[in-house]
Amino acid sequence: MADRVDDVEVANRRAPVIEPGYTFGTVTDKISAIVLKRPTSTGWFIGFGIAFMLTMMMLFAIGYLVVKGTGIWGINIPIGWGFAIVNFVWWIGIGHAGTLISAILLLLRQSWRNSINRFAEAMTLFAVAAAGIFPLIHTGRPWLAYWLFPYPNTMNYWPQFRSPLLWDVFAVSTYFTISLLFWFVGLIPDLATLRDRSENRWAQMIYGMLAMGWRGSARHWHRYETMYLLLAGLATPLVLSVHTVVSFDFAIAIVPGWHTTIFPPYFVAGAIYSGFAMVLMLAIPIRKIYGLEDFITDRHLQNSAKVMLATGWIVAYGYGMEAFMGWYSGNRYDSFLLWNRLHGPYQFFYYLLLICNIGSPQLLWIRKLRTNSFGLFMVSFVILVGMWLERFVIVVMSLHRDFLNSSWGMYYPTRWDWMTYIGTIGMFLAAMFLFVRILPMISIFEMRTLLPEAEVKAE
Amino acid sequence: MEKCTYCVQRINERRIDAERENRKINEGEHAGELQTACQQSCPAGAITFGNINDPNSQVSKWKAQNRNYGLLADLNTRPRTTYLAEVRNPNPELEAERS
Repeated sequence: MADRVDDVEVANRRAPVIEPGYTFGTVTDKISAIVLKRPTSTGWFIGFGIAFMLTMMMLFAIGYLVVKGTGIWGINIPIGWGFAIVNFVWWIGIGHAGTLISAILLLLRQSWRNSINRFAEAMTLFAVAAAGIFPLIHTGRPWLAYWLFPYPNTMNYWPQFRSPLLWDVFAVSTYFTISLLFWFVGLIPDLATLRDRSENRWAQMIYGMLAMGWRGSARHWHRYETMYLLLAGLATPLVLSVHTVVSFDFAIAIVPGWHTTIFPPYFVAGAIYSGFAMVLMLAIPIRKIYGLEDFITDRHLQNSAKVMLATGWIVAYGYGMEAFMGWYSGNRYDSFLLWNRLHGPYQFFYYLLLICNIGSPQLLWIRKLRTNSFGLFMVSFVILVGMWLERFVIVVMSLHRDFLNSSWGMYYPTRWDWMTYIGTIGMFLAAMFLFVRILPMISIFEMRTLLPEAEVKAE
Repeated sequence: MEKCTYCVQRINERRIDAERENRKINEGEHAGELQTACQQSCPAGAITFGNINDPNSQVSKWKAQNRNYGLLADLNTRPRTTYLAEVRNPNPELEAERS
């Protein structure tokens, strides 16, 4: 299969998952040195500083929200779901790539995942954490958020199990827990490596505690592999279920544009689409800055681009079906929605969405672009903008003109909406900065299995 | 902004009274003991509130009229607040005068 047409030809060979010339030792040296040996650069401090300030801005916006209430946002009847829900769905979608890469590709034995799974999982965790903030503050009284859980209480109160918003609580919290466990379990052997290699007493103690006594014995590895596989099995259905449940928040309601059966698959595809875009947006600068082009090769960029192209087409099919059903159903509310998208006051965003999400990924048919870091970075950025617009179109454009034209309205985000949204991006980036500084961003032991040394030959 | 509670505090108060006296709420000689605030303050008596399970209650009688309609009831949301259509004079000359 080495000469397949779609493979990257670099001097007549397929770009490898790891460049040749590495041994077990050099792989370990190279990845652990980023954490242990490499001095913290000025660039890191500047980047982290900016991200940290944005996080503080988010906390300020949330603090003011708690004091004043959700009236500081642009939401009102009829648009009761504004930026908070748009951002929630956007972030949770981005958080899908990590588990897809680490669990599904593990079960499918796609070993190229080994060099990007660690930071994709970290990205997932931070994205889900950013997503989790929004429904919490959107309740208006976040200090009572524990009411969402069914627990015995003296108020004779029990959550409404027929509401998809409650299913969300379980779907998202399960997803976060499994992702965190999967990430941490994957880190254990590498934490032990860092423990053994660090020269600082504090680092030794902290990594040592986190490594939970890992010694790398055959029995450790045996149990470890079993557990890792089991967790992958648990995480796999979650990749599909979480965004399905998120889509139910809309699909179960009767609002035109929401009440469609295509929502679950179309949401899951969109989630993976935006998730891979975020993975690329992080991987491209990281591999450049830390000189990891040998580990995150053009093969990875190429494969991710192909996943984006495929899921992009599923999303395009979703848009096409929505438009088709607007006409074919003969339902006047649905056909009005289609008209309103094309000609209504928010038409600009709808056209922009089509350009970003259907137009821009078509560039990925070009092989040169799939291996061009800068081009891919730009396409990924456009796709992330497009996926945000998709959620804006779904949430705001369906609500602002529904059944009763006496209660139509417009939605304008306020500065607090923007501060909270941009603040979560800052929080996400700050967490990523910390992650690349203090933990091995590429799985050391899984990288070693990719080396020729690791191949077991049958006697 | 709050969802209308249909004056749940008034309902509960009357229900406790009725339970203490071991009788049904808002029925028989006690009919009219329970009114929502909007009902109480409407000078035209256009609002009524009551038990739709009781076919003899005022609200059931009004709901049984063919002028009764619900807002967007065709979406099958089964709204519990329903309205009575306006009584209009079909005489075209009088109809024109109205508007």
